Amino acid sequence: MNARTLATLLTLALSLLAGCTSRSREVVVYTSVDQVVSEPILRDFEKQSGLTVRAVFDTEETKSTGVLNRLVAEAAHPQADVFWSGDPVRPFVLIKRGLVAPYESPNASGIPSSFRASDGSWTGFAARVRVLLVNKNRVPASELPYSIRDLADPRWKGATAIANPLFGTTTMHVAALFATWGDEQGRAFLKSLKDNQARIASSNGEVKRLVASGEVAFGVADTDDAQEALSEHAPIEVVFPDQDGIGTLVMPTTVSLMRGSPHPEGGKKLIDFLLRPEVERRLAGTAAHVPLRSDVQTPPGVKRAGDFKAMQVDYSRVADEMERMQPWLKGWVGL
Amino acid sequence: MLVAAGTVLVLAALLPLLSLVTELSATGRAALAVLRGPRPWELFLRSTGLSALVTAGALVVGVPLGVLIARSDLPGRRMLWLLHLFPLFLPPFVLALGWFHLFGRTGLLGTEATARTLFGGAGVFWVLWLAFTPVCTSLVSLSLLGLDASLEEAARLVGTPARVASRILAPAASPAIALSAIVVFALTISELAVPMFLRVDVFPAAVFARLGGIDYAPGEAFALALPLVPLSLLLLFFERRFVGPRSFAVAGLRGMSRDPLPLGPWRPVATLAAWSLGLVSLAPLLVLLVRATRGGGLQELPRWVGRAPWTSLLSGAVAATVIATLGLVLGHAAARRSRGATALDALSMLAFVTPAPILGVGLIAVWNRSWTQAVYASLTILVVGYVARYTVVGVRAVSSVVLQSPLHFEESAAVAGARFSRRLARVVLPLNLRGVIGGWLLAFVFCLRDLETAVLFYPAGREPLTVRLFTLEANGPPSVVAALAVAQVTLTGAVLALGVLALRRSAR
Amino acid sequence: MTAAIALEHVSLSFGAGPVLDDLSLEVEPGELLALLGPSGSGKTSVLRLVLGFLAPATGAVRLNGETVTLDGRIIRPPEERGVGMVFQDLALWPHLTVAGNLEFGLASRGLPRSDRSGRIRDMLSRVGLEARARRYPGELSGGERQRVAIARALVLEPRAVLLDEPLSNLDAPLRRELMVLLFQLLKERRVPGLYVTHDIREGASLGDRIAVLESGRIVQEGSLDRLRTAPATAFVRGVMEDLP
Repeated sequence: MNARTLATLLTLALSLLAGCTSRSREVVVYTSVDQVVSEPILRDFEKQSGLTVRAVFDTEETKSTGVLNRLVAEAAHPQADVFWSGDPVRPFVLIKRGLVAPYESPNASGIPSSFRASDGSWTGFAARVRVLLVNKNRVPASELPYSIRDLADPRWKGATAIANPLFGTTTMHVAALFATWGDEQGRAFLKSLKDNQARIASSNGEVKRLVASGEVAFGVADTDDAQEALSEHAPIEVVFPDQDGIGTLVMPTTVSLMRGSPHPEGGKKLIDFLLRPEVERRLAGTAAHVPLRSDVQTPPGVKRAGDFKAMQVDYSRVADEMERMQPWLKGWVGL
Repeated sequence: MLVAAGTVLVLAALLPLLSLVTELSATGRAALAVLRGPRPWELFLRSTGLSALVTAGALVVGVPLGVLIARSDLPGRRMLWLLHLFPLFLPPFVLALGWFHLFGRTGLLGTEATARTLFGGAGVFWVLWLAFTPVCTSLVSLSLLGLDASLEEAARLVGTPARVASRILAPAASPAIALSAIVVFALTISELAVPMFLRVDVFPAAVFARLGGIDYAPGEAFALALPLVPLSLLLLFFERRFVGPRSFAVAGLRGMSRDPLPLGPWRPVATLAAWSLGLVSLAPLLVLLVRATRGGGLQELPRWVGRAPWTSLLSGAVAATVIATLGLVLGHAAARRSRGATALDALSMLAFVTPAPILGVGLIAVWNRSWTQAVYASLTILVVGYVARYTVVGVRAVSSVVLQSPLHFEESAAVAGARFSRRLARVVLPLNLRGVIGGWLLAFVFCLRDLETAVLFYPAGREPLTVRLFTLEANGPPSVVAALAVAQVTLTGAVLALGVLALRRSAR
Repeated sequence: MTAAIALEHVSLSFGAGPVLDDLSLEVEPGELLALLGPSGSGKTSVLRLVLGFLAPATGAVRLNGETVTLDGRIIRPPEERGVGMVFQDLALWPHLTVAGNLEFGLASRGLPRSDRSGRIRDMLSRVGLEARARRYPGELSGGERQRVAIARALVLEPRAVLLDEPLSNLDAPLRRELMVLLFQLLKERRVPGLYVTHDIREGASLGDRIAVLESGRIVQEGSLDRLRTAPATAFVRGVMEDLP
């Protein structure tokens, strides 16, 4: 084979690579919702709409910040049409940087107004809730923890776990606590966690594993982690913390349309699809997400948003708090 | 032609590194402040220590095993080599997954104690040592097979087999030993997925995690990676000094049937030891297969695997072809000591030992512009990433073969009026075809097994199989994840089998 | 008359010491010059200078009056010099057939395909190898390979031919046969040649003139008679005494 043939073949191969699919009939979504949960829903959308969905998922370890940072890194030339976030706070990072285009979906009308932006820059649905996972073998029923503060209880020294607050839903949780308690109390609490030798896990999934195996007595994670643990027949008790105090934190998943994206029409269609009640119902069924709509049926064991006391938060303020506390938090984590 | 090849390499590998230097100077002091605390240095020492340990372990076992395989009468040596070598071509993460299904808490042979051992430094060492020892074994074997038989025969007239092995064979393989040490060290220190999975904090993983911090600061990530730069340069220095442009090519494995050194009374022990090692390496793969079958993972596989295998194969094949072509030009230039070749060879080595997140961030910075979207938004960016990272494989494979090829064939072609490109295509390439094909195959397999390079910038919806496996591992059904791992193993095995067939065909 | 090949005051050293020391040499058009010298005298270096694989520290190399190398600078690369070469170990490309070996240079020079086959055919029949055109060098005998090497150099119609001890690997009868063939071919085509050898009988039989290289210099050059009657150095005298 001579050089010219090789060069021709190579060019052909590269064009094959470059133009693998037709550009117009597709939509690109970056999501920090677990791939296991989100992918089947995206496949359904593909079937119903005839559009091809190209997705970027997050790795567990960099949960929701990896994808977020890719969105920021690509700001000069946006690749994604939709950001489907696993929490309601990170979209604010993008909104503040002007990377989001407002879109009021017709399907958003059933969602309570406290869980969506009035200008449509973000819309929440199917939420996760921050709960305590307790190992029944290590913790007798009479001694169940009831508050987030129990993570720092000296009774459970070295026996509690929390995921790295630089990533995932834990970031939001910590920021919400700081927003509610104020800086001083917030820092004191985190410091007391360290003093109590609480385990800093790499992810909520790891917290779940640690509790399920009994390596720790209890830890804080999300409702879908709890549901997974239960389905794996782990000896777990689920506690909605601070029911007679500040309340339990609700974290809706959200969708936002990206500004300047390659396929805005497809993006809107995807958002409309995701905001349908069926999707909320499905997420309640498969991933124990808490529906925000009052009329969505839930399987047994899965609460609805109205069934428990929710923490009162202004997500925008929590977002600010998140960015503000970053440097201090990095120091606290150590790297 | 060297200029053209050099330009491609510079575009792929040097630009991203340079762009990060500019990032660093932009964020400057704030970025460097991240190095002031003790923790980064703790992690750095831990990483370096682990890599040194794995390297030492690989040498301790790999050198004698390499000698045994190449030159002793160990039964079934060829098969043993194959079994021992195969796991090297898989992402180490797959092997870790297999060990998890064996010794993890819910594993086939798992207990509390085994799980605790696995999820820690000992586990990381075990997985990586088993994964990378074949580098040493193979380079030593290849080196010995290419050794002039008369050197060994002369020694055997006056010495026992043991003395021949230790005083003649092992020293003769010293460039191979040095090179394997460098490669194992480089592979271990940039390994991300295994320590992350086994919950051990290592330095490159911390860098990767920093890129996922809330405020995107590539300058900080680069600053964090700075300590790795002198390390890379040190590796490069060792490589120049102790390895250099030496040849490891062999005409064929016929040398294995050449009159072997008898093991005598040691044969049963050696056989047991060597074969145990070979079979242990395969244990995780078998466990994965078992796990995938139980729990219906294999049946579910088509639903979960998507286009990922096709993505892996296509981007890998194209990247391997580019790498083989670059390898032909640069490897030939390096072997013939052309001007500029040394610098380009060093650049390709530097890109190989640079941690993947650094390269990844730089690649995004360079290629995500409006006029390069055809590259960035397509599989081409994967090809660029692979080329940046693995060109060294092609360069080394070709240069080691060309070194064995007499210069006069090229000179007579020049005298006959052929310009450089024609000489390369019509004389150098055909005469060194096996080396080029070997380089292509090796590059392809490295691309297939890659995780760390691709994970940062793969185009949406077009992840290679390794990335898909990695992202699904955290929350996917375990039997499906095991099935995906089996798919990766099968893919690699198929590519290797076809490649070896092609190599056999090209031997005239 | 402009020399076909001219080396003028050429000096060259490799680390240890000088290899060529202010050497001057000329090959006239149509003449075959035999370059004689012991091993290590620098004969191969002379050839590599003419070919363009080496450049001298000082001095010039000229082909038909054109300066191709000057004071360390190679002005014309080897592929542009139009000089043919028969290498000591022949350097036949093992992956090309006999015809392929001949065609390679013709194709490199851009000769159209129709012309190539004619020239190759003629050349191969001239050296008696038409029947072997499709064989590979590995399948030929020593003498046959030699003929291919010669044919390959001459099919390109070079402006000069260099020969590096081309017959040293052959036994006596074969050597004589090929010497005759070589002589005829070179004279037919009036191709000037530089023939390097350490064998005075070969040099004497083939060369119109003989030049003796000793310690990097030409110590004597001229006809065989000249060298015999008035040897300039002990070495020359010793060599002449070897002749019958």
